[in-house]
Amino acid sequence: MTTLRIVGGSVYDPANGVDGDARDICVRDRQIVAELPPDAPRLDARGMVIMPGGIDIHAHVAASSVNLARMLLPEEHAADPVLAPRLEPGDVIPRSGSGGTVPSTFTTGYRYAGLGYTTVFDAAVAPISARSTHAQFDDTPIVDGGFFALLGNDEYLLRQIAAGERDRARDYVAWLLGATKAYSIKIVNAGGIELWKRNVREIRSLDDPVGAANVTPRAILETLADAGNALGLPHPVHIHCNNLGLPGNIDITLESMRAVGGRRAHFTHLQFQSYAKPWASAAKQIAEYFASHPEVSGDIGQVMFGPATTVTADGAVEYLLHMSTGRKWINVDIELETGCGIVPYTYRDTAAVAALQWVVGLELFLLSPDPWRLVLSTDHPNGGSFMSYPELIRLLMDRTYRDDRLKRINQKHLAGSALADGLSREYTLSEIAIITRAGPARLLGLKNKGHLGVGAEADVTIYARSANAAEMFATPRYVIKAGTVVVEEGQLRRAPSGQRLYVGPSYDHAVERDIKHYFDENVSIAFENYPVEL
Amino acid sequence: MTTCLGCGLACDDIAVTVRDGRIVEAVNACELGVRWFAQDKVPALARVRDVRVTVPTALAEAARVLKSAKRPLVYLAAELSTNAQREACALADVLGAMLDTVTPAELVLAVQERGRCSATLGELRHRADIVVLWHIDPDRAYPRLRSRYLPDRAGRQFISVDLSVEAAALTRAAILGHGTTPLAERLVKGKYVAIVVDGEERPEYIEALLALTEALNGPTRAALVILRGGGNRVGSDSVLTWQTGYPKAIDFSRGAPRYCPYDSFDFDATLVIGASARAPQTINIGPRASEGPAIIAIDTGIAGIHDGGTAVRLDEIPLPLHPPLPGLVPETAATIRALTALVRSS
Repeated sequence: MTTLRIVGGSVYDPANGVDGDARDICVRDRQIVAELPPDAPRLDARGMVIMPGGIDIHAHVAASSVNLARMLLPEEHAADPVLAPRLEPGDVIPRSGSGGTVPSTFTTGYRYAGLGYTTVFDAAVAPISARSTHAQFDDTPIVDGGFFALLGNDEYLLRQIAAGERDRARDYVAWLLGATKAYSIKIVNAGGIELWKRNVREIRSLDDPVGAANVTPRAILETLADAGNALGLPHPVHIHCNNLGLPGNIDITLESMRAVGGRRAHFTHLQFQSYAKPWASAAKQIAEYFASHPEVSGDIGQVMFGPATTVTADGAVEYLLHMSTGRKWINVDIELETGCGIVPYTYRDTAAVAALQWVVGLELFLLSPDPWRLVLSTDHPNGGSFMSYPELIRLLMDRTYRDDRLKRINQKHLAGSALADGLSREYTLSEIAIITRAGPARLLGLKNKGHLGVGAEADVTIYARSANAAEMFATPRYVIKAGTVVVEEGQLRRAPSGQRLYVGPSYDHAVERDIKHYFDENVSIAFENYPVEL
Repeated sequence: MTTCLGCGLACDDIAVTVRDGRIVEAVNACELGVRWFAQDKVPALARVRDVRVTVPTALAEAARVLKSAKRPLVYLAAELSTNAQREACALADVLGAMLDTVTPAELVLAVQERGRCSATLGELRHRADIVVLWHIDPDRAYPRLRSRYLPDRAGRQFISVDLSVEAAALTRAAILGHGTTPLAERLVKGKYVAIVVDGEERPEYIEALLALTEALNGPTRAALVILRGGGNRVGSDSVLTWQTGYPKAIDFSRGAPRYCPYDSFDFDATLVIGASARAPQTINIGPRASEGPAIIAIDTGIAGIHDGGTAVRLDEIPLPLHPPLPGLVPETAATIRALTALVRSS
């Protein structure tokens, strides 16, 4: 039985209104408790900063698409070989691996934990490949993992929309999430992936037909947002809008928000969706929309200068990226469900569009009216690796550093941008705790994560203070995962398995007969073989 | 429903009947599948040289030999479950061994050089209006490919091609606007072109056909389908990639994985996992190992017949195995795990 009293640190627990107060945190087994016997072991955290474990609401770490990206990048892995960590002796085998923007699974788990992150969601899994995701998470130690199931181009769903069968669409969603052990619904380029398979490469509006006239991006967004809300999912629907990365896409982004207006919905990597035409920042319009619509949430998808790997279900955008960069390209059309595109990419501060993207992301952070609803991501590895989160935190906390960096990037598309005009905001430690743990936990409906109150899971990160926030957040002194001290004195010492996070919403089982019939007619694997056993 | 690993198509609609510990019927199986399920009866022995021993004794001897080897090789044959592949990769990591598989190096190197435009098999069935069979007779090596994924239907054209690698390059050039070829003119008229090639028998074509398929995605949509042989070959590509970053030819001797697809080494001990004719074999853990040439041999099961878990179809779709004869022989994954524990403990 683990007991541990963490003594004397400054606690940042915004979910419980604690803002840097010195107080003890008591851990018994896997939980935070109110008190411990006086002789319980102590961890001296005097002078240090204590936060809940980090939670990544949107990354690509454990999907079949991610694994294709890994396979595509031997040169990145060769440049970043990773020795097995020196763990405490025991049954857990320390594993070697490789890094780069798409690290091997063991290295992914170790590195997340090394940053003080204890929970990670894979944001885009083709349901038919869910078994691969679960197996990859099984080999991603320490962190708890979950995933969002791609549904925005699903053939069965589109057929229900065409037939006006929205209740059946909802029951199908419930069945599919339960069968694949997913956590929530993901929409990527609603209808646009199906169109890409038909060689239609452009979406002009939310009312473009996808096959049948009444099947449109708008109808897909409405149907799935309704389903997520009606099923009471802890995280109702996670939306990657149409026309990602294209100038002028702010219009369809805002139109998508209005289309699901009044319903809870999460809009992801908004940086990639907030461009005016010709190229300019439209971050201010997103901030204004958020200020007047409390039901909406989002994450940023910050671009960080340096190497990245773009990996998405949005195949059409990857074709454009391949053609514009000449770099190698993977496309996989995945039957009846979705697609997959991969292109390695480098964001250079000398490039006009990359510089604008960097600025748009920072503006979204700095203009955000509510850090609880607009949280940190780089859409790892699309905008940059999760390993760049400490650098991103420094950009948010240190105006001098940020302004100095801003001067040294391509200015072509920055005229009139809020950041170029001077944004003085500096995130506080409490706000950083919100955008990296408390906020994601709330948006994901994880009641026992993202805070340090009694009953919370004992996921705790302890940082040594530093004037350089990047250094501070890159190397926590201690990380505790579910009561186990995994990082000690800055060294990874233990690597227990994480838990899987998934839902099993209830639904009318009558739908299964129709789904089975659809499988028999259309799907290349047997209905009985589709559900995943854990 | 049981999944057949007789070829890479991994048909998962096989209804198997077992009587008295034998598979007596495999409904829906093709002739390859019938041969696959006929491997049902396997010995369950362990031996060191000519002496029959218990499995723990054989494992202890295997652990001793592997630990004293300076340059061990762990070699994965085809018919392993994903779980067995995971355990084998862990063992190679712990040993600091070389780890390799049956996958042709040309195949993965071509994809790593250029990328790949592909599709899952169901996508072909729904969309392909032009199907190019490049140097293959699918009915021989992949008997259910046509009936399950490429049935004749209105508007679907099949083109059988026996052209050279150079001709593939010329066709690509024509699609990109340099010259013309008759094939290029036909292909660009397709709405969705599927090019099918055998990755096992014709790996030398992969690079040119990847390039051709990529070019076709300018004017139209296209996918290259690389057929793979029996067992769980794509599974080993996937598992090794997620655990190490590389799909095969991984050298752990420096602590961290190193990719060596071009190198050849001498090994002083070879552990073959699964059934392989590869020689020499110091240790074999796999089906019928006791009947083979290895010095230390431990019989285990065949994935999908005796061993459960998951296997991966040639298009990366993971499938459950539902083995009809579980528990008749030691499970491969558990046997490897026990060996790894012995290697670590002493």
